[in-house]
Amino acid sequence: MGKQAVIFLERNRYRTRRLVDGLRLLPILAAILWVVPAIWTHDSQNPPGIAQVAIYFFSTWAIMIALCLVLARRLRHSAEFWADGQAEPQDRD
Amino acid sequence: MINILISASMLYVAALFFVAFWAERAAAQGRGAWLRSPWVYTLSLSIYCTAWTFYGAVGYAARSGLEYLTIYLGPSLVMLGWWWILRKLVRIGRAQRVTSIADLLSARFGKSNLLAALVTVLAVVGTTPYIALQLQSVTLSFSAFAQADDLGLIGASNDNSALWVALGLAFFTIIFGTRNLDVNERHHGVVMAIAVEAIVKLCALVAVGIFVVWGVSGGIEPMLEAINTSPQHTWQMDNARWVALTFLSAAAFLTLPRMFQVLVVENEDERHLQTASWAFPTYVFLMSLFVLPIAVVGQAILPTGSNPDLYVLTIPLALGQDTLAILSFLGGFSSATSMVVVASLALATMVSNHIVMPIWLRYWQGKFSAFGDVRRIVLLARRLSIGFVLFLGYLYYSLSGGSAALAAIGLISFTGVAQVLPAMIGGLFWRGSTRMGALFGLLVGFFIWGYSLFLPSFGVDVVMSANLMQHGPWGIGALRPQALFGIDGLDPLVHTIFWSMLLNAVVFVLVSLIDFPSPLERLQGAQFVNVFDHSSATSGWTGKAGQSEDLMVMAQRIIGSVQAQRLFQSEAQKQGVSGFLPEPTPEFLERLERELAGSVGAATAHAMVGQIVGGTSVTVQDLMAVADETAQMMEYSSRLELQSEELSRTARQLRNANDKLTQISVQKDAFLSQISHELRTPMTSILAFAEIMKDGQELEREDLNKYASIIHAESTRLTRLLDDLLDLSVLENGQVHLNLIACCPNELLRRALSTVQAGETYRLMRINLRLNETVPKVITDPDRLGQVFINLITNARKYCDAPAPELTISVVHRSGRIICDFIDNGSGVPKEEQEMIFEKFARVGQTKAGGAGLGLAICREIMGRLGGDIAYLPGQGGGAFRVSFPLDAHALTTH
Repeated sequence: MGKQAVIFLERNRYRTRRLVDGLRLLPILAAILWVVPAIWTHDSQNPPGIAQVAIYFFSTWAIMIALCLVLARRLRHSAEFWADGQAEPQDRD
Repeated sequence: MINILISASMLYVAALFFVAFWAERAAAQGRGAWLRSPWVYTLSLSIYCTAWTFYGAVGYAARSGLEYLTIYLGPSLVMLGWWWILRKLVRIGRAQRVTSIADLLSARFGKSNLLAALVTVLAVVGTTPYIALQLQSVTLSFSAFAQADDLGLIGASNDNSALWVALGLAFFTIIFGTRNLDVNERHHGVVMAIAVEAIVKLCALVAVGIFVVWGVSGGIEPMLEAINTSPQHTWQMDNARWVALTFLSAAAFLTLPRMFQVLVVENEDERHLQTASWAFPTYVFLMSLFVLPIAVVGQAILPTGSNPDLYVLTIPLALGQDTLAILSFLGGFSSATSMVVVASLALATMVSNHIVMPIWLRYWQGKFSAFGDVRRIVLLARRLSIGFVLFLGYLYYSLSGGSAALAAIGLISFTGVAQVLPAMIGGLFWRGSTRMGALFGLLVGFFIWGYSLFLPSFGVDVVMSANLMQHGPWGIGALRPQALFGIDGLDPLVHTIFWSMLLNAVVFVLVSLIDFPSPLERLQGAQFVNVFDHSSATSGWTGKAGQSEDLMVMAQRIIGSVQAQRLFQSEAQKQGVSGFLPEPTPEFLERLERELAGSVGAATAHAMVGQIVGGTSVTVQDLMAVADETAQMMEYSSRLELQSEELSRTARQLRNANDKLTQISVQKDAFLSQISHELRTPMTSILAFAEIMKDGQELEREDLNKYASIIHAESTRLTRLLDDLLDLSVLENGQVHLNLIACCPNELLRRALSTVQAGETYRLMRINLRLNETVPKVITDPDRLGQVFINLITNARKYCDAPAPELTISVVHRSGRIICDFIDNGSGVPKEEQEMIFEKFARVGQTKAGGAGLGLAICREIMGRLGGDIAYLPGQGGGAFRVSFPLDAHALTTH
């Protein structure tokens, strides 16, 4: 009777939950990556050139976006997270 | 040149109006499926990138290197982390029909209008400089063109162009922003126009960037070289500023009224977040990609002293790329206008819902008949508010004279609105946060912001004297605006962000811990924090019959008669009431209030329903009752479930009993015809032969003998039948006398066998006798037990249908009982008849052999008397009966 806590999930839903975990961790990873350059200035007399730093930021940024894209697209057919319980409609492609 | 520019912008504005009209029409005709695509949603988010971003970021990069990135990294973090906050925010926004960020806080903290009004004031104060900034950017970009044309109208045209832009924007916003009242009817025209503008500004900036990298610098390699030899070539990061600015931009992304408008209020579908989560970071990535190259090239090729904030425009102009310059101007113009439109729309909603409407309601309190069409009043209030907000922006611009660097104003504004963050996050995730906590936290944060950042930003001696800045009020050093608590040497912005956010959050938490929230606050808190649990809304209203008409009148005036009637009718249908007036049930009042909240905000809607229904009725007792009720309901339903299980069990038993009774009745009927047949057959022959014998004197002796013996045999058969019936009835009535003596079961069996074999011999049957000689003697009635054995053996002989019939009889002694099994190799008794065979008159199948079907019934009665049992043994590969009886029948029968 009532809602019972489910301890084990079947494979698909387990996968989905882990995808969500990944999605949750993404901003934390990004935040860490984008604070790292703060350490660089301290350890050397001649700090890295600004172009290199810019390349670092833009490439990590692109990686984060790509990760988010992959996770979001894999998640978009799981209906359980949305208010109306429906997954995103299939693309026509 | 300037004329081309003016006509280009006019054309562009006309195109925007056309796009907005067209989108509105498409939506109205229901053709606007693509208007609701996630891409439009993502592009509409780009109003984060204002003219400050478009022009200012380059200036920022020229002054402080890569620090401009923080302004984009913050929102990227928020979007990448959409699962944490945005998803919940959007779900709540849709569930509670939130109209603005002020409305969100008001709805969360007990539909408090005081809080909403405070947030509104804060937002207006925080956004006004920002709107001024947009106006300034447009006039600056105009004057850049004028300079290029060497026209002397720089000073003269500045104020004029700002005024025209402000007027035009007010016009656009009023037309497309206040067409409808309900937030659920989205502003398709506005959203579509800003989506187009988003594309224009991205294209413009990227075009200038490509021109700068490949056209001016000659490719990526030389560009990187140029960047590394530029004045700000070394990577020197102010760590505190870096972290503080990233945090600030992330916070502002969530709390800016205009961002809230496009993120939550204009959101069509929460799934759009999925696309926006990566698409929006991609957008800002592209927006910031070429900022540094443009800044470096601008510093290299333009004369020193030229404004770096306008590099995007002045580089193409200086290099004679007029088309690119115009495109770039349109990009900047787009950034400025889209921001101003959405910001003034969001602010106007807040002002009209949380300041104008409450005052108006108070004025008309209780006089519902005096209500005009509230819709018209709300719309008017909203239109006036748009004009008011834009006027404030223009005023600020005129007064400040457009002196300060663009980026500085932007960050000051960000810090102001970010003060909402603690209350907002606390409200979303912490049920214990209270209205008082939010109120005091906001006030403290807002005060610190005003004191240490906003007022000093006007310049020394404008609002705050140099003396005050230097030595603090009344000479108290610890209260110096930019060195609070005596902590000196911090960057003023970091200083304000740190102290305002810290104290804001601390006060918010502390007051919340001490305070005790009102019941409505607790209800709303639970609904916000647990929004994903699909918890059904508990309502605080208890309506009385007869109020429905008043409610209808009010609803019609707020959401329009068509929509109100539709709402009331659907509710009436749901309640099973005919007509338009449903009962004012708590559920309906809750739904109605939510519908109204979509138009006038939670606090006002609550107050309006309260005026009719009569005050908020929710109390702590109610809350407890709700909780109790839920618990009781659960208990009750579990009890019901048990009961219904029991009932169905009983019903099953009854059904079985009924089936058996029906079968017995059928058998009885069958028996009656059978018994009459059985009686009649011998009777007929007896009668016939008796008549022959009576009439025929000339019968031979031989014949006489034959007839007499037939009569005798038939009479015997009759007697046997009658004996059986008598026997059974005696056994059933318990009048039988048992002759209990000690005897050997094996012996009894052998005797029974020889009796049977001595009798009829018409059928041959192999009999396997598996006797166990260790079986002890038993005390029983040997005649009766023998009768049972004989009956079973005879039955097997009669009914075993195997070609070579075989009967196996085994005897064992097990736990104080003798068990005899009679197993033949025939087809046995069908499952559905197994239950019936021990009933009186039961016979398996349509009998082929004679007998009235009393044998097994008698056997059962006998075994019962002897303290034993007879049962059919299924699954033995044929008909099988098990007879079991105790070693001493005395022990049982004497009981």
